[in-house]
Amino acid sequence: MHFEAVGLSAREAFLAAAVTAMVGCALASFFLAGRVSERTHVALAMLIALIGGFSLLTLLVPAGREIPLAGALIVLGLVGLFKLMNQFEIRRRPRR
Amino acid sequence: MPAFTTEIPAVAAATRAPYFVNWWADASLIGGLSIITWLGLRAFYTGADTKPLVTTALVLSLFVNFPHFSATVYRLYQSPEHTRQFPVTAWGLPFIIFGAVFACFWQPEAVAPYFLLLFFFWSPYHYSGQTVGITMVYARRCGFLIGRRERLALSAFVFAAFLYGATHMQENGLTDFYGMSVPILAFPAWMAPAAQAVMCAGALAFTGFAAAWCRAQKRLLPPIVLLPAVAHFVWFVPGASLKSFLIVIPLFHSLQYLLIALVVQLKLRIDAEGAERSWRRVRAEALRWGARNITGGVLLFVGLPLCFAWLPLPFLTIAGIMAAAVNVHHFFVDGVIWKLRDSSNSSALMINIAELGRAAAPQPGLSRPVAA
Repeated sequence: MHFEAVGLSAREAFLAAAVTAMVGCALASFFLAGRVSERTHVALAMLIALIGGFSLLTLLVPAGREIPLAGALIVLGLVGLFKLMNQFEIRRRPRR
Repeated sequence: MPAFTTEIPAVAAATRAPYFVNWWADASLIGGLSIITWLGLRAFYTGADTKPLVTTALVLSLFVNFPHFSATVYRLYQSPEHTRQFPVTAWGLPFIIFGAVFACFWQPEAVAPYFLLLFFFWSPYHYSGQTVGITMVYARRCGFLIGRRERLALSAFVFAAFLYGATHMQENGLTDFYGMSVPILAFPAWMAPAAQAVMCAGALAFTGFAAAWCRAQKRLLPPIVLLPAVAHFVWFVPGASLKSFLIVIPLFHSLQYLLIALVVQLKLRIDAEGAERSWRRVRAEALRWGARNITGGVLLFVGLPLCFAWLPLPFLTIAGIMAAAVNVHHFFVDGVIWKLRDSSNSSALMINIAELGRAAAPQPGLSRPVAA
């Protein structure tokens, strides 16, 4: 693979791509300011959280395979991520 | 359909039939068939050779599992009004999912196993959300209002069962998906007992609320309200240690979904077109919806992987990655489409199919002309 020529491992190359995607979502949110609803901005922020969460998963799973507590924390983190994604692009009730 | 009850109005549900079709059809599709299958497999099919069952499940998938994914996509994209309500889900999310797919194709060893792990845990979590959602729909239909406490107890039971089952499946080696390996995590010894304790506490509390309701109402709670949770328990607790049963669980999840999605689709279409209600109309619309979703399912699970068959990867790997991606996309779309602000959406979840099949009876005070 070409990325090896510049001293990047396969995982580092993937993480670079993931960070690029996160920057892309953040820039989309920035450039769409004032033109889209708050709900859309929140959805873009959640996409950043999803990409970041998945990137963390690729980094932490090797530890989770060896250390039971890390395995439990990964599963609980995933449940938190799923719960968050369950609120993806839905209308929120206004705070009282 | 994780939280699709939020828009259901509190109607006088006690006077309504609790079923979408009738007691045996609803009971079979919502969980009865899965429990019977589990009992049958447990009694007669405990061997390690699951190949015949995999073949059967694959054939059934064409008519049940694949269409259930297609039904979600169809529901989101069938109307521009729906896509306008959820632009990121409709137009942004597919790019992110395809990004993940391309990353898996690009690095099948460094990325794909983690994407499969994400899917491996998200899938039963999604099933849990549907169990809670369906329980709430039937509870509302039966007049058993689920408040904050009841929902907390139900969720504790359902999600703890998921946690117990998912960790148990990993420990028992369910780590193969389309010939690819899903990474196995290590878990502390206290995790399974802790999940069981939460599950038992949730079950006790919810049963207590149900018993209190029965005492106050002086009638029994229709068993269909508890059936989704009981089926969910069978899927994830005793069923988790039966490898042959694990293969067919997605079919039963899809059956639940298709029943409710079909009735809602019928209601929305027939109301939207303002056509006369008749069984002929119901049959025609059901057949049209079914045919479209079977075709859509084949396109999603066979057509999409074929588009990438030219890649230097085994076709099974391509199909597995695409299947996981379609699933993840479904988890997102399913989370939003049941929150669509259709004026008829909420009432559709309270309908019985017989109301669509026969012409509406004239309502006193509405159908009669008002005297001047």
